[in-house]
Amino acid sequence: MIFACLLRLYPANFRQRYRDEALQLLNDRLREERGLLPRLRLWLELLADLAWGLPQAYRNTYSPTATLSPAEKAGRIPLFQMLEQNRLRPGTLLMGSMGTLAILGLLVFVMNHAGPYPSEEMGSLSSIERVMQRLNQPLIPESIRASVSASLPPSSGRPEVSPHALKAPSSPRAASEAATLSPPPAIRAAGLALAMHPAATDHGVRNPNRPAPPPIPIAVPTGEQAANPQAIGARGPVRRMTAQVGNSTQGAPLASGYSPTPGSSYQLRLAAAPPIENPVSTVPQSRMVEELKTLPGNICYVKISRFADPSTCRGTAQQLMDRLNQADAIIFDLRGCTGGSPEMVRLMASRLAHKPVFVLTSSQTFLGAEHVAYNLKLLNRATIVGEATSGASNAGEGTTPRRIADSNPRRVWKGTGVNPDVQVKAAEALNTAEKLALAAVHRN
Amino acid sequence: MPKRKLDPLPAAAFQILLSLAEGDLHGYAIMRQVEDQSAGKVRLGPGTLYSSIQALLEQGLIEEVQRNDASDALRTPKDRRRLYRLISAGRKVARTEAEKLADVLRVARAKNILRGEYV
Repeated sequence: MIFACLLRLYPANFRQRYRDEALQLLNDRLREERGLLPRLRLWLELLADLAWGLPQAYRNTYSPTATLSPAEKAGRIPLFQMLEQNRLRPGTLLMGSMGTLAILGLLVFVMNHAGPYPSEEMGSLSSIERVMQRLNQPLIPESIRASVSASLPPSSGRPEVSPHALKAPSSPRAASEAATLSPPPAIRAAGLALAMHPAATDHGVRNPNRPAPPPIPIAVPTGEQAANPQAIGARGPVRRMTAQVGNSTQGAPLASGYSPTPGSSYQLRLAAAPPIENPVSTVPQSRMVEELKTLPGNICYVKISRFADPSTCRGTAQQLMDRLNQADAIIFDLRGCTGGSPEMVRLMASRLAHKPVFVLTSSQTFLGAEHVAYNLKLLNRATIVGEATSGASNAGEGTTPRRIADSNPRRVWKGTGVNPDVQVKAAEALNTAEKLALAAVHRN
Repeated sequence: MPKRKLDPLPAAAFQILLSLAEGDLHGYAIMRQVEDQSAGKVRLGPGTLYSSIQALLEQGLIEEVQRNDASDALRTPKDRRRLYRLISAGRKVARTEAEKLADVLRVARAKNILRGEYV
């Protein structure tokens, strides 16, 4: 009874949990410890127990603890406590900080010692050094800019690339690396010259209004490939060197073509092509149509240098469409066309109706113009007359109709060009096409 | 992380951990075991005993074992007493505390504080 009153001094949670057991324990002791002295000793111990046990009882939280049955012991799961109920100790924060530093140090160590990159100047570079070098690298290094400027003839601005710089790689893997890694210095110089050409750039920003720079002649070592011109364009030096120069022009659109010269060598023509993906083309109409005339037999001849955006030249475009509507046959001269706006291509294609259409191509037919020729050829909507197109590698997506588009039409003509239906020299293409158009008009 | 209420480990809590080292015991048995292992010098009262047990439970040094051989309604009051078990964390804390005391004992022996009858 007295002890039951003393238990009321303890916290309610303590009494709720241990009151019965404590009373049971006291009863057991009372039953076993009989006599005056043992009882006196017992009560003195209870008073001392009150002094020692009461503070401890108030320090406890009495949060629910797990009570495990023997069956539960086998499938025991970890217990989780709410963190906010307990303050973090300084030692915990210190351990967390040290652990974080250790993990960060390990990461830096791995990045510094894994996958060294080769470097011409410093042997091998770590991943971090490589990234820092790329970030700190100027668009065109001053040293290379100076060397290129010094090597350019002041009159023409055309650097000649020596044949030994164009030595073919010894294996397919080496060829791939040559196209993706840094090109030889001579090729790099040619590309930088192209990128720095005042006609191609305007204070480092590409300006499509400027005329394309003159092509850079590069002597191609032919060897056994001289007998197979297709191999030169598709898999040979033309494609490889175009890719290499493209690496040096900071990704600028690049067009390429080649033609044989007297003797046993070829001339590779490289030009910085204006980007055709620009949605607002500012090519003036006067430059889009170089020549527009009506040939005998009411054949409309249109020589296009570049497809301008219709929104920038609505009046002139409509005038051109009217001329196309009135003609009995149409000859599109794309022999010097460098591509342009897909919208203009769609607009012109919609006015072709069922008239005979002839498209003149040459090795100077680039990018979007190749796409036009390719689409019309696949649709059996036009007859291609002339030479194979350039197969320029930086073409845009173009306007391939869905019903004829395979997975990627550029795979078909990229590098190889679009082959003509009637293969004649570029200079003779117009005469041939005119004869064919007259014959077609008479048939109709 | 729970509060370290048992750092340093109180003598009563250490004695309870030692008493549970050989098997599961309820509160009264723990008190008797502590009395035996201390040669009658330590007799835990109910307040100290159960508040220490609660602290050890909260610190995860011991656990309560619920017997499932009969329902609570059929048990006598004695049978309803809870059993407690020493778990690995508690055993580790007890070993650490014992090693501390052993170090103190070696120092005391080296300084000739203890006589020969002490090991």
